[in-house]
Amino acid sequence: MTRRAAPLVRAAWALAAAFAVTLGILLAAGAPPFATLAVMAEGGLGSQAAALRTLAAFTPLLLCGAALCVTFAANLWNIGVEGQITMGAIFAQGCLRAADPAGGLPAGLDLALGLAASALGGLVWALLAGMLRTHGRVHEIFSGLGLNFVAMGVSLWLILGPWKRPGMASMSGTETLDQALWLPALGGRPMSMVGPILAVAAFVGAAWLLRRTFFGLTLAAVRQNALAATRLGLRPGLRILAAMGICGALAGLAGGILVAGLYHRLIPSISGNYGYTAILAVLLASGSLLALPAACLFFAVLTVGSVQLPLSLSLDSSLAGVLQGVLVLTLFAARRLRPLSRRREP
Amino acid sequence: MRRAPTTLAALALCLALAAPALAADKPLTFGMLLVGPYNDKGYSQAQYEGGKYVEEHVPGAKMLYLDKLNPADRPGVTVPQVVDDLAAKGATLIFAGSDDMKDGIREAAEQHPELTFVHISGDDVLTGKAPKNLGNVFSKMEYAKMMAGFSAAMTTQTGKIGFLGPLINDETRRLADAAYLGARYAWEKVRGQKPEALSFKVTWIGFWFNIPGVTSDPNQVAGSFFDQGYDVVISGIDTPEALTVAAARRKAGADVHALPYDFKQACDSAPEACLGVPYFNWGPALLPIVKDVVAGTWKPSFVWLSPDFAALNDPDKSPVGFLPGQGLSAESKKALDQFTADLGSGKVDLFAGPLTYQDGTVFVPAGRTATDKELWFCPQLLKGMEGASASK
Amino acid sequence: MDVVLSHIVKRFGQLIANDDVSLTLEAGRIHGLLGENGAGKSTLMKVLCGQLSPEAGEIVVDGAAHARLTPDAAAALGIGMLPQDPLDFPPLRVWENFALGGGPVLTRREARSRLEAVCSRMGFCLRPDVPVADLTVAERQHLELARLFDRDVRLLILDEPTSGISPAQKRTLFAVLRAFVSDGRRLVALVTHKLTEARELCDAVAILRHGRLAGSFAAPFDTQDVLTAMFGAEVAATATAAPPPPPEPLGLGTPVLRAANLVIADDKAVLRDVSLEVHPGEIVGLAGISGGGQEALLRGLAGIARSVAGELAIGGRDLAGRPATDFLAAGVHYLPAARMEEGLFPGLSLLDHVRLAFPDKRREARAIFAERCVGRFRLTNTPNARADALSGGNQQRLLLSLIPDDTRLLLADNPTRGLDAASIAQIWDHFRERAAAGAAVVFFSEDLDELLAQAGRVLVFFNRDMAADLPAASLDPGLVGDLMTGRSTAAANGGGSAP
Repeated sequence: MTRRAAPLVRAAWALAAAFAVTLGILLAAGAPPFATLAVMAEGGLGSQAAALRTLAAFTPLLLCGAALCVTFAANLWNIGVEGQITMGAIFAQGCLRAADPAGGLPAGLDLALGLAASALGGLVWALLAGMLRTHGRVHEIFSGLGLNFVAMGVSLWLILGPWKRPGMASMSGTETLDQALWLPALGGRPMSMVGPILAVAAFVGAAWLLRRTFFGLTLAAVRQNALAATRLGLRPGLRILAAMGICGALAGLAGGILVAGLYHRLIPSISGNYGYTAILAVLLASGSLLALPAACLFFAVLTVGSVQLPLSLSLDSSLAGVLQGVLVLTLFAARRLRPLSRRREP
Repeated sequence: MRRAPTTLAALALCLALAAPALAADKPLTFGMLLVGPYNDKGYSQAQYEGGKYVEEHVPGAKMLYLDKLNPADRPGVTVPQVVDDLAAKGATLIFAGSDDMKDGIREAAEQHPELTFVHISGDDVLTGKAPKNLGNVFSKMEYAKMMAGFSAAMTTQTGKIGFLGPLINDETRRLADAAYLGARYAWEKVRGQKPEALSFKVTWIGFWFNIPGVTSDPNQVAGSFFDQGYDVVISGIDTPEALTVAAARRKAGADVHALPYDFKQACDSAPEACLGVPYFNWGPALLPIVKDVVAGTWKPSFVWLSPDFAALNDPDKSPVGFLPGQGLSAESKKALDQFTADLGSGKVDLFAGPLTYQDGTVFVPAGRTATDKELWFCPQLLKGMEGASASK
Repeated sequence: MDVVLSHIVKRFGQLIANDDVSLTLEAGRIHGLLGENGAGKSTLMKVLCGQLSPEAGEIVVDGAAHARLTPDAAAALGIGMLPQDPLDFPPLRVWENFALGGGPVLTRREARSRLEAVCSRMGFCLRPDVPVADLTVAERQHLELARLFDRDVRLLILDEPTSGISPAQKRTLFAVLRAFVSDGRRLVALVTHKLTEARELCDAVAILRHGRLAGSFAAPFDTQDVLTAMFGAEVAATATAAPPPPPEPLGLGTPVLRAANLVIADDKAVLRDVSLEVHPGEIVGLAGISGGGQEALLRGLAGIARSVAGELAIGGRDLAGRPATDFLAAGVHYLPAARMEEGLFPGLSLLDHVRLAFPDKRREARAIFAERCVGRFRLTNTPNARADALSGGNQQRLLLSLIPDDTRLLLADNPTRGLDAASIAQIWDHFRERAAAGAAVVFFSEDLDELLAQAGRVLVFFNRDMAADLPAASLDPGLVGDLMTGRSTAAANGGGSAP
């Protein structure tokens, strides 16, 4: 086996192991294993409508995945992506509901402002966690988790309080935005293509930033050794804040796209666990930027396809969540436990 | 509400007439969208079982359900998307189970004019926003809540009743108001106590269930009620904390009780602490709708079903039930039966004026009863209740 | 007890750490194992005490041959090792650590009585209720030894036991070891890279070089022979040559560094009230036992630990309480003792290091690497290699090459620790060049001999306080050793004045 082929063999082995465990679990759950997988794949990719839905789930996942790559590059565990998405959604909604589609600015500009506001919202929320880390010595895992709850609380309060729809406040969310303020839909009706385009652009931008720029190199330095970075005058604290800020802005943008492009209003739990799922996707891609879109797509198909489990097979749809978790764990374990590991690095 | 039996009779007649046509028709497939897990022992399971009931009682009917339809559990999945799927699988009637599907189900109804949609708990027909193929149905849980309040007031020693509220909206205010009216009636009219000696306090936790960090902890809220001398807590949330805490306090020697919500068997976990449970029974509520749709006689309307007071806990009859618990004394139980009968006969009408909101504005003037619309849109708690009418 | 290591081979991947090494250890004697860093000494001793399994060869203990030993088997045979870094639990008390010392866990009563017995036998003074974190390095060593003696160890292996302890403490330790073997049944194996120690203590020495046995000598041995065996003939000649005299300060004009009543708060220790002037061209050595405050001073002068009170001016700029970047701007650079942990980015390429260190010239990184790192500093690796592939010497060469030429104050914490003789010589040459060009160098070395040989002035630290400021003329190992262990004070010796 040549050195070049080794990672491929390793990946193939890990995938095969994950697949085997998946089949085992389906069998144990009393589900027809191959039919179940086929139904999920079909539900995620089988038709144009299904593919569009998958794309709708893929967009925020890729945005958050790219965002997380930036913070992971600086060795930050930014668990707060959920809250940053929510804050982005809140800022976007706040901006768009204030916009007057009839007069004033053209709708396109309103939309651009709304998305910019969403990025700002996510950025502010992420910087809060970042400053707690750099100035308050609070680890970003704890502040992120706390701020997630706060963001969710704020969105609930707005939906049921100040921004409630006329008549009866509803868990259905705020009043739907004027159609002029929706991101233009091309082709399929549920989803605007602007979202995926922005997500891909953000991903390419993040990859360029991390791989090709001096800033990316300094983040790698901070990740590798914060002490040495201090010694070289690289100001790790500032870099951490910058990484958090970029991450927050991208996650906030995801929230803005969910508001302007998918739900067209602020709803409770708008972040929809995309933040946590994106962490899984980044872990699945094990830090490889190239593998990240594939991992995001995989999770998007799983999320969308799992809807079919109760509908087509009367299976408990929690099965999809179990599969998702087991797959990630198996892939990790398989990498460690692969056979043929005679060669050990000294 | 007294129209209900007649409607049913008419329905049965229509059905009998339509039966030959039905047999030739292809069997009905209907979709059921549940907000929570189908087996949550609460709100969603009640709807799921209602669907099962319909499957049993309409020959050939088949239910397709999707549970956990909410953005947290199924990110990116919207109601119209699921309706597309259900339509592709042959569903011609869609039930949407929860308030938060309001916009989605309306959008789906507009996109699929060939299908029939019923939004449980919605009010689009009432507000005039509904397209022609979208109707609303809900049960008057208010009466069961009155019975809950009644049982609480019959039992309390201290005259202090706590209401563990979820989030604040029209529906939850309405239900808290109803519980208060039932309690006030028992306190003043049955027990003959002074009005000012009754204390009825509402504390909202902020959501339908406990979300650590976001909501107040219902265990803490229930506990602090008992600490402050409230000896009965009525739960308005989806989860059973109030009863659990009451049972724990009883073990420690306190004479306290609670009333859970939503699920008929909710008392089973702590029978002695339980005064009773108000619950939904969707079978008899959904069945006539399905039969109407099959017969082609369905018209979109805002249906708000009253309980069958004569057969409150009959699974085939009343869309809302109140099952008394072991904690309720025989005496109180007797009074409750009388109260139920009086509500049914119209002898007691707790929504009759004069009723006043917390801030002093008139809810219902003297001399008439609140209309459904006045009841449905409920902006405040009532005068005499403690607690916030709106979140700040 | 007699132990014979016979044809031991131990490989780590491509590297052969022990290549057919045979060695006889006789009862009643102290055996030295000498060699440069990486010569295979520690590996051989780990094979002997069961921590590593050899690929070939056997271990013969009192006539019984073993293909390999496990730690338990070695302990049962009476083989015990005092590792280079103490393996204790700092938050626990002395007696608790003693009670946990391998084998069955002792009860409180048992542990305390046995600890007392061992201590009185060996002349140790250990208070049972003190947390181990509060002990000095020497006391921790005593605790470790007490544990081993209590288990009735017959072959005691010590790996570089004298780093971090004072000359007086070293004398005590050596006396203990002498007493240990005096009954003629027990023996000691001492791993060291210091020839003087071996001469002082050992009855016989074996020398390892590049994993092979390069010679064995019985006392009294000839220094030149041993050095030749250790380094080869060529290097041995330079190593024995006396170092050039420390440079004189360039003049008493403006000091590079001026500190007045400075208080430095490091992570664990606070250094009190330091007043100090350092002039261009000076090479100042800091003496002290580990944790004495000298590390805190270096980190404080580098701006990594905060100055919380007093004045600190470097190159005329007031820097007290300023961020680390201001220190860099003032021309202060710091070489950490833990090169990889604090100085380098393990996963990044050498070229990336150059880019990060010279961000303004990052487009010319390749040229800088070729000219500076490889050309001037003799770094022997490729620009795309990762830092974690570097040897210790190359790590230090890379770090040195990343320090700009216009540095005014160079701070170094144990700059030669673990390096081979050639690298050490290069580092001191480089420091002298820097000093001659007008920079000031302040360094700390745990090796007192090296410190006294290289420094033009020595600041002695004891108990997080500067105890003395000694000019080159008054340097005496005994005096410095007493000062750094608090046995004597600067006032009593009339020291404490700047040159």
